[in-house]
Amino acid sequence: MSQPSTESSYDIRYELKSSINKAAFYFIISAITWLTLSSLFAVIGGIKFINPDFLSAYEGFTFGRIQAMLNSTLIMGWCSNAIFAVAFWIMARLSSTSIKHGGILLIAGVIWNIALTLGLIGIFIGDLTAFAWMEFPSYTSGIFLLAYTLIAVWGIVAYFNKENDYSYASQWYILGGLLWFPWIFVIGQFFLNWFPVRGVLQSIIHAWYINNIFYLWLCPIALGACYYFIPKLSSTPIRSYHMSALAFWSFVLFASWSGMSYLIGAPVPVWLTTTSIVFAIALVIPALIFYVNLIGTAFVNPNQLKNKLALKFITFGSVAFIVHLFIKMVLTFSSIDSVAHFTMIYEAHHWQLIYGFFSMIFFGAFYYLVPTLLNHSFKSYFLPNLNFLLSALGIIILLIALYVGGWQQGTQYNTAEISFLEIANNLTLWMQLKLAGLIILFIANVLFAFNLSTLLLCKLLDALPNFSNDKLNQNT
Amino acid sequence: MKHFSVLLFGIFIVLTSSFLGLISSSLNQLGNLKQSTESLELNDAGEPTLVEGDPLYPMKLSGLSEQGHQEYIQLGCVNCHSQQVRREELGKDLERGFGQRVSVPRDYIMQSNVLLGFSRIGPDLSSVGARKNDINWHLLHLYNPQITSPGSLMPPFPFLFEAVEISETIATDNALVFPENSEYSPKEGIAIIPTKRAIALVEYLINLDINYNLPEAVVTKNDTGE
Amino acid sequence: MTQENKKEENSNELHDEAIQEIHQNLIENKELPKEGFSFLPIALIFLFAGVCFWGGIHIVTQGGEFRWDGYHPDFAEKHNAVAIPEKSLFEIGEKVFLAQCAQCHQNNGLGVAGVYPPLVRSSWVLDHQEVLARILINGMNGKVIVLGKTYNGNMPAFGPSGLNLKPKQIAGVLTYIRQEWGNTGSEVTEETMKNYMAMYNARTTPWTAEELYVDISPEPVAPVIESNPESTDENNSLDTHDEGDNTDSSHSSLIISDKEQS
Repeated sequence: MSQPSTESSYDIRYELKSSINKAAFYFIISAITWLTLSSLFAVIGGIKFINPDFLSAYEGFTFGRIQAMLNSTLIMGWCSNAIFAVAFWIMARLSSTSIKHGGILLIAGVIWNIALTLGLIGIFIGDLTAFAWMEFPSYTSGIFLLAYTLIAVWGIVAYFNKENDYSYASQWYILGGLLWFPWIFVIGQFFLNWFPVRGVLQSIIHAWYINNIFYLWLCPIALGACYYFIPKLSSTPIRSYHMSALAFWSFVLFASWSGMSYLIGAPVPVWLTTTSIVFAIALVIPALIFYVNLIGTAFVNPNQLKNKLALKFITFGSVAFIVHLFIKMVLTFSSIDSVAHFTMIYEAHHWQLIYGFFSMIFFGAFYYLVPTLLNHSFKSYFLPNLNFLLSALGIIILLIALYVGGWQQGTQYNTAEISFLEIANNLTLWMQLKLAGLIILFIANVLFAFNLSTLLLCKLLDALPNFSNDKLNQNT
Repeated sequence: MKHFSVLLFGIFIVLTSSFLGLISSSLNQLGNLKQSTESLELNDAGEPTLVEGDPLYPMKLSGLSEQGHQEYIQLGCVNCHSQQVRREELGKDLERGFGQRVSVPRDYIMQSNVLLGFSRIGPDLSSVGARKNDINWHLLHLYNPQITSPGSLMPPFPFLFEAVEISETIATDNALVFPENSEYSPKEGIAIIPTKRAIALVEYLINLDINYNLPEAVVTKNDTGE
Repeated sequence: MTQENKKEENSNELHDEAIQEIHQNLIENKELPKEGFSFLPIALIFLFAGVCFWGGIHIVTQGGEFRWDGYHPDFAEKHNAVAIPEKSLFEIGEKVFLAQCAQCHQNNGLGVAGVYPPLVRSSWVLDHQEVLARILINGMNGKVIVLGKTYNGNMPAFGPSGLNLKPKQIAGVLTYIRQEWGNTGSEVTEETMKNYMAMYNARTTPWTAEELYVDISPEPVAPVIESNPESTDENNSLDTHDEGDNTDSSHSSLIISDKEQS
């Protein structure tokens, strides 16, 4: 790599700090907003399982719609905006280049959020589709796609314009994720909403869609962030890094073939589920490498782990991910599936991926990214640390409630003498625990929003008097 | 630049392979399923053919049922109710009477959206019409599940009903019939009338029934689930 | 390398470029284990081989032979092919009867008094197969006396000039009505029916009661097993009519006279 002159390095820095800054902050703020909103939906949904009469008089707040709004705000609101903020930043950093055209990025971001708002209103008034995790009405899908194209192209361009010859694991994952998402999205929309196929083919494509959105969109980007932040923050190179390529290829290949395991027992030809089960089990190979690569590295330097807030979040997320993968394998055993299928265990499994893994990684990334972008650090780490504790506690309580409650639900379901009403009534304790977990998560998320916005406000207040000076300096 | 092309090619291959392997092949296998008679017969050439004159299954949904199907989607019922009957070793679906046979792909070809479902907070509905075909029961259950199933976790759907004062100008023939002394009964002189949406939804529900034979799936369980 | 701001640099982190450089080196010069050999890569190779081996076998044995209708993992053992149970003529006939005939003749075969004649114990049903075949293929109209009551209706044709049922279906219906409700007529085989249809398919007008017994060929199969010994006695000629045990002789003679007139 050519040694940049002081001037060009100033340019890069300037571009990183200003042109993309607005876009980055825009994505960060909208991600946090949607996250808070989604956890509010989650709490409302949780209350409904304790008191079904809660808000039942209003059609828009009926459980099915709340759940649809929760799923949409999580995937398209929080996860996607967080990805746009963090993935691009990592991509630009690792490619030693800058994300250009921050203006277009900003406009596209606005379009994306307009589509999402429109989608939420659509769901609220009853235009939701029949397919979980893609409930937003089909008339918004075109807008999402347009916005995504305008956004993602800059991340991909950044990789191709990179000024160094390195190609690091984070870059593979992020590039892959950015390229896979539109493809998965279009296939899902095409076969389910635009030109619906007939019969259970819809369910097959739906299972494929959910699985790939989780494992080829959320996971790669979050893994890319792990591979970036863990060595960076623990100042240790990744352990057994030479195996990370094997982990990458085996993970994405096996995971993308493993989607039909959602359909075990469903009316589809059995070879579909059998094939997916084999690939789900094969995920043991990347899971072991991830364990060595990520967790092995994170724990090399316990001091850093103790002192660095972001690293705490990211290590927690990595552990949750590896546990998630092993649970995914176990859930495909037919003896386990016969209990777990149709119970809250699947819900727990999704929460574990989205909150336990993805969100924790991105909480950590935001706690690193925002102070860096602002060049302004927390005065006290008490509240951020409290945020970590609350998030971790909330997730653990939520997962215990859903996994254990789900197992109880499944075993009682398989005792045909116990009626459905009894099963539902026996779940009360677990539903209360679930609600407790969701409320803790809600508080944690509000705290997250509060922490980052106070930082932003402090910076703005600090910056005001210096503004003209900065401007003057830049012009010279 | 060799590395980039390998990376790009790999990224392309991964998703293409899973698309071709899982989706294209099943489109190919299941894309042309048609309605069938309950059993097949051998024609003169010795090939299995449909029995002429027999009714075709699965039946087409009536217009009202189709509207009910859309209501089912719009209210998000699929979040808690599944519509599939699994084979015996995977769960007690047959024993619980969710259907008298295992469901197969052909059962779903006439539905505009397939609602297999992924959660059973509530019971499976693949054959709910065969289990309960009392319209008033279903309407009461939608109006407030606590009337018919005390302790249920299902939310009530009061917005599918109208409360009207009983008078000569408004027809209240189809008003809900509450059980005697129900604490949920409306006040004296008020009738609870289902809207068109509620009627369509119930029409859809009572027509959900997979207890017919198909050549590849024969009813094995009798009504009592034995 | 000044992209990192001061504060972050001070907190002992790796630079972005350091991350890449170090790891690039790691790929090029693999870490050497400090002592002995590294266990992980070898274990992974074995694991990978094991997963491939097990996975291949699992897909082949538990994959339902990759058939669209293989819904059970051990598909091959359970059903080798879609078995089509051969339906008896009686079962085929039952379906056709319930779909086509029961509106008039009723499910119990008793008809509607004065409008549609009964089939139970009717000699028209139980007697000569060809008569019955003629009625089914081409239809029948005009007066007919069944079990002592006169009916005057139109029986539609089910052969090519009417509903166009297949020989097997008509044979089924005939067998069904001859053997259901306590009737004990012989089976009408598909072969017989094909012969009759070859003979009468061309005819376009319905039969009348008088024409029905003209020019009929001999019974194709073994003698009819009759329910009641009396009728067997009478049944020594082809054109004998048996009205069953509850019919008195005057009715019988009336029908015979009808036939003689034609």
